[in-house]
Amino acid sequence: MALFNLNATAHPATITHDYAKVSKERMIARVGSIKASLALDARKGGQMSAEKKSNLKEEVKGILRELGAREEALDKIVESLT
Amino acid sequence: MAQGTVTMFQEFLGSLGLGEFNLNTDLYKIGLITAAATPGTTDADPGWAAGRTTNFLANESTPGGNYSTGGADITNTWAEAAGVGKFDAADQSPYLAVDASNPTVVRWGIIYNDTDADKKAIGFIDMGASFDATTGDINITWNASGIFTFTLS
Repeated sequence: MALFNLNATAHPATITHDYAKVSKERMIARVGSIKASLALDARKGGQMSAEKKSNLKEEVKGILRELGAREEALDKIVESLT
Repeated sequence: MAQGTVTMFQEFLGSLGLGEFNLNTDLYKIGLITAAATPGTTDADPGWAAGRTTNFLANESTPGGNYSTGGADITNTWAEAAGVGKFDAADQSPYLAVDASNPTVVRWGIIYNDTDADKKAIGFIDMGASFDATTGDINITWNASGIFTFTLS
């Protein structure tokens, strides 16, 4: 008997050749992924490169801008990320 | 297999247990290949470098235009919440913007670890059919659940 089961699931992506608007649900999920990734890295002693960290924060800024966040709030939100 | 399907290599799971991948801090790319190769989940030692048993670099779509050798960084992230570990990446709209010098045959995308000296691959994405990137963009929008998840049960 196994000690535990680890089920791996690959999730289908969407490939398009014309401009396709990314759903709000997906954008929010992506912000969640980045926030959790940065928090995990901080807990593990900060192994992530400064460049990657900065790129991820810029990505969050871009998504929040797209979602309609006020420009003056963006820096504060991103600063609050680990 | 349908357009957009992501399939993981079985060998990836073996490598994961050996600590050969850091899914959060390593840099991952998508390399584009032609229809000359058909990736499969059971491929032996899959990767993006000479020396791998299954070397997808050998079938890379001809670099040019907006596509550079090896492909682009997908800005991956990894985190765990409530027993689900998620590997995710930035949506790529476009992953490859149309250009007259782009590759003319793009059939599969290989997701591989560019930080790793062996450039081991995680999995592949089905482009649906051979696509001529001189005629239009290639956009990749990842699933709201990420590229793949591990769930403890």
